[in-house]
Amino acid sequence: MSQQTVVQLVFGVMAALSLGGAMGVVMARTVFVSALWLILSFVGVAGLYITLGAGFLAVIQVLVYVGAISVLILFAIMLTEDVMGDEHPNNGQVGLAIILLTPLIFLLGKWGFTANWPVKAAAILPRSGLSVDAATAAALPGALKTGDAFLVPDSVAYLGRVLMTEHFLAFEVVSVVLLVALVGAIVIARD
Amino acid sequence: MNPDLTPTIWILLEAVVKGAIVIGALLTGFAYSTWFERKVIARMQVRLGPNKAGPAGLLLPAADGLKLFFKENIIPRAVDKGIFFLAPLISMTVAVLAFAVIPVGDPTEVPWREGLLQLGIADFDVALLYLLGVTSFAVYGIALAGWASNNKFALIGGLRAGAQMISYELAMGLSILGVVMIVGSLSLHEIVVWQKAHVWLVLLQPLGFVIYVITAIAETNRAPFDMPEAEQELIAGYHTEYTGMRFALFFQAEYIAMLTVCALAAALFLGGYSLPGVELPWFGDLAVFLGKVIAGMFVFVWIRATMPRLRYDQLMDFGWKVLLPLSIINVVATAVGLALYQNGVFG
Amino acid sequence: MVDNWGFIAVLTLVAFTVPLIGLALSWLLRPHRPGPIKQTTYECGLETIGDSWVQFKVQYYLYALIFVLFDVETVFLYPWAVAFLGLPLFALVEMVIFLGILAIGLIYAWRKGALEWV
Repeated sequence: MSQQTVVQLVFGVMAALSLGGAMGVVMARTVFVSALWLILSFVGVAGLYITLGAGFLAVIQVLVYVGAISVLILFAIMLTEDVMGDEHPNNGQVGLAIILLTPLIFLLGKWGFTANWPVKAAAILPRSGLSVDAATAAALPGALKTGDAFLVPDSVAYLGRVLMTEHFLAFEVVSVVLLVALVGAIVIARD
Repeated sequence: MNPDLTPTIWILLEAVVKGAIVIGALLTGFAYSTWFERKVIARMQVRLGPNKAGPAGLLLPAADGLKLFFKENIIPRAVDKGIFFLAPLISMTVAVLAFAVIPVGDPTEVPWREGLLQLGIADFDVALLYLLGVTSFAVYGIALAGWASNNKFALIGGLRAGAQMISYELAMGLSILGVVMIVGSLSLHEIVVWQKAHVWLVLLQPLGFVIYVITAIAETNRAPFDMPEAEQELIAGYHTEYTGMRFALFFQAEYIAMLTVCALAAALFLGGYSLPGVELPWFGDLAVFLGKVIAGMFVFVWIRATMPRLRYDQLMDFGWKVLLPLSIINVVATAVGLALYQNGVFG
Repeated sequence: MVDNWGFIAVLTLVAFTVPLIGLALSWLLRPHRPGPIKQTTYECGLETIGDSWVQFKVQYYLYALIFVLFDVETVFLYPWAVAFLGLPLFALVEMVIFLGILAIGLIYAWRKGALEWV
């Protein structure tokens, strides 16, 4: 069992989790249970990030989507009196959905497997803590110079450095977006 | 056998053994934490505490465990069975998972393995965020238990716990930030190593430490922040309908979470498994680590014996209007201090 | 790195199995004597009146809403904090602006009474 097989196996499990969770969301008996399935789906997506080597993104996914947004959704459901009952929303359009979605899934799958995904060399970060030469370091904005060699930063430090130098404007805009969202949410919720 | 396979199997075996050891240690820790808590509280209230089962009541946790095993499980008709079953399992699993990144010693050379053996389940460059992420799951165990019970007390307990835990999570996340800035890493092991080389971070981050301790008590729903199970108003809060082993799982999860936040406090602020100026072998490290966790548990019990419970509005106010602004101020102050230091203002 | 996540995955399985084993053992050992009165909802011996799943205070929701926004903010702070040493002074200014804008949000919420438990 090579590393490759293990990664594929884990990928399969995680994909099943996120898709199964998504199925649960649409099939569940009540909105509350739907929200719970959504959490499972989020966890599956976090797992997919891990298989891609994006540990930071995975923990952020859990922290924000599971730890915050899902709590918000659950609270919102608990606050809405009508949906707490044991209703069974039966959807008569299941057949139509299947007919429409089957070709779509097929096409997406085909594109996914046949497309020639461009991979930027610099996008793949070598292991953190490695020493690299100046040429490789030039492609890594976060590389630290230590003597003659360049040290590959760990992924979070790398992200922080890029965020603070190249993308500082986007970073500041985020704070404004968050502020607008906060003000808007309070205004709407209090009326 | 495929020669490729052998290392994978060994790693797998190591992972399982490590997992079993950690869970065994946490369950033992849980059992003796309950004994420790009763004993210390009893002393503080000038009583004797447990002293009948075994010497100094040391067999009491075992007796309690056995009793819970043989207790009938009552499942009220009104509950949502699936979620009722799932909630304690979530609580317990999450509590154990959070402990995974706590370092209990320096990586050690061992004969059966290439490379160094990590003492602790895992350590990676996002360990601290992983811990926060996993802890944010703990809300669900409690909130779902409250919801599934279909009991007014349980539901209110679950909701209160949910709102309380998210409120204090913010201040907790921000209070840790100062440590991260000074060390420049989210790996708990690196944070401990830094403290070994320099100084315990509690000296550089006193405000951060105080905020962390307060939020840690709130996150674990312990007195004086034990609103979710305020017995005078909510019976037993979210676990009112739980009996026998299922109740035991919630009980275990709460104590394991306490052990974890104590261990985290040690790792972040109190030098982790190290003592200043002393190099110890792995069992020495482990003993130091245990000593610090026990000291932390003592503080937990001490506070419980001293402080009356907060009112819910006071609790939310305190989290949002005192701790959150303070932790933001702490972040800015640390940043300014570090910037000054970096530019040579302090020589 | 991959090793470490693998360890976490194994621990997840073990941590989920152990309580299951505990529950199964206890299921074998404990008595099973359900009764109609035993299985009622526990409310201090009184008959339960009405449904538990009723509408709750909007305040819970408001806290969760503000929490989501500040949680996202914290997420942005972490990479900054890790990288902070070694960044130019400019990074400090950036972060003070970022935090300042969000502090305005907190003050706004405070003033509007969104943080009041009423």
